Amino acid sequence: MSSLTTVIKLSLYEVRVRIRSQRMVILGPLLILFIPGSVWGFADPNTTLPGQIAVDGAPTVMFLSSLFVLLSATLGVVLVGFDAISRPRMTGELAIDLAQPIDRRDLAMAHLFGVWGTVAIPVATLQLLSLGLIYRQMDIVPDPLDSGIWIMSTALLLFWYASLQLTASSMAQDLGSSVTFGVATWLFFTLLWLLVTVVIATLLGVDATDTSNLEFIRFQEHADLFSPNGVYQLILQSRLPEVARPTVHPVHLILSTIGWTLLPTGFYLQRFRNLKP
Amino acid sequence: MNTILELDGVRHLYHNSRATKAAARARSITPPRRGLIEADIRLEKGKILGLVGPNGAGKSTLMCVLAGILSPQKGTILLDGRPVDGDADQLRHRQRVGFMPERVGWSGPGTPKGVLQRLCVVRGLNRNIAMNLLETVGLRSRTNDLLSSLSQGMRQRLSLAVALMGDPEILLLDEPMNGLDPVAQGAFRDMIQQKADQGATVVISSHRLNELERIVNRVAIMNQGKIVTRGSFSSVEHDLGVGHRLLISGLGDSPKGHIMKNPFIEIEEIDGESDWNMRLTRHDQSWSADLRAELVELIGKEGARLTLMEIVPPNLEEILATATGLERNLALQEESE
Repeated sequence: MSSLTTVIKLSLYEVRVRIRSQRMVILGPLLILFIPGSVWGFADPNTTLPGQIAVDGAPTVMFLSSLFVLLSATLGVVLVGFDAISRPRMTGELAIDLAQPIDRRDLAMAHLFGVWGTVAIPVATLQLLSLGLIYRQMDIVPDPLDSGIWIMSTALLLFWYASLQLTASSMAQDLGSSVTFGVATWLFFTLLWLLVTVVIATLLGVDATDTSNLEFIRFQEHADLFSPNGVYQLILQSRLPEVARPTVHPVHLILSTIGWTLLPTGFYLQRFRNLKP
Repeated sequence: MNTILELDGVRHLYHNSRATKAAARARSITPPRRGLIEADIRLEKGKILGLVGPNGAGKSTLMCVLAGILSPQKGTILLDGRPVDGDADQLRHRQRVGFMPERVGWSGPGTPKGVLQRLCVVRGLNRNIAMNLLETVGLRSRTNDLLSSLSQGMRQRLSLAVALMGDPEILLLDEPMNGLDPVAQGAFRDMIQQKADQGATVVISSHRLNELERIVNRVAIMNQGKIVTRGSFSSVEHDLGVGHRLLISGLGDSPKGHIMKNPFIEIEEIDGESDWNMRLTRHDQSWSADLRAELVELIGKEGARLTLMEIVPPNLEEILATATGLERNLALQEESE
């Protein structure tokens, strides 16, 4: 059996076990409420959004619902993955895994895909369902490219969070510190990033008191390249009508996407390679 | 050649991170801050080796090196006389080893069947063997129970099933009898003996010295990261100068006074006056037939009647204490620090 087949089979096993776990039973309704729920609301032609935001097509609905994806699905990865390495390490199950005739890199990837798939599969299913909701509410068939980018970028975002969370789990001394690290990372990128951006902008002399200031908007978009959430939203924003597209150069966005995909994963694989039971 | 796995001048220096120590503490294992193991050891086909030593001696680390989990910084691991070098060799090494770590706390949302089926995928085995293994270790009725609902003994059985997967040529078992009931311990001994008879090499690390004595035919004693002595029981006894005891019991006047005159015999323990028992040791370790006849004659001269005379070999606890220099009190003091 090739190592790729082994990785896929192990990942699917992990997904099967984790998806039936109690925490997914709690997380499931939350995802349903946040993803199809937000799409249902944003796609309603009678909805009036604050800040004169006009919903003029499916990409806008997808972009607006990304906020709810960031609040629910990424937290889901944190909750599913916080003990993926630290618990088996504490119980001794990891020693058994490491004693098996399998490359450590393959084992690490199986854990990563297992955690990622546990959240990404239900999220992608709900996103497909949401496309139906857009059609029902707005009477338009979402463009396959827009839909594909929405689903793929969400999957990519969850992959970034999974690799960050598994790195944390491999470093944690106990389950508490592992979940703390995961939640802190989530809070930092989800809620505190704007504050960090404002502080840095102010320190660099960019006027951050007026959020509609073009200079600040440009600065914020560039700063977002250093945040997984920011990159995710920039990708979706690039599918919006011309006036609402980000000022970030597409090459920078692509490089940042590649960076967020390779760097945390590479660091996690390196850690796993040197892991002691 | 009969040697299957050999550590040649292996040196592994480890500095346990806080995470590693926390993980060890969670399993009630004493976590050393850092340590060094230096080992030369040969595992021979069909032999059962007992690995003993005080807490923190480096037994579990040595087991991890033997299992291919930790790589030595110095020295060579030889498998069938060929050095284990590179990823492919390491996979080949681990393919032939079945490892049961100490006190695995199986938990989480899986089941015993699921655990074994997953590891069948890892080892490239048919998933159907999972049920056979569960039957072998007496977990057939708990196949689909949640791992968190298993008792410590059941978890040990599951760990043993994992170690037996793929019928490995080398079985490394770290404290395998923890939590097993006496009947299961008996079945475990029989199974290990059967595996050895079939040609498997078994290494058992255990603190249950009485149980270990009943299984192993060779012993290696570790202390402070080094193998102090190894070999058959008799060769280890000889190397360490641990003598056999002579137990004598009798009725009438005790021959204590006469025995004490012999400078080569020491009375370790004496109990009773007219119905007495004595435990004697000899510094040159031998209790020849002539010497025993002399003793019988001496006791007869005193007017006493001998009711028992038995040569008792030293037990593993005594051998360990001699090899490591640890006395019972000292050992307890060190543990409570």
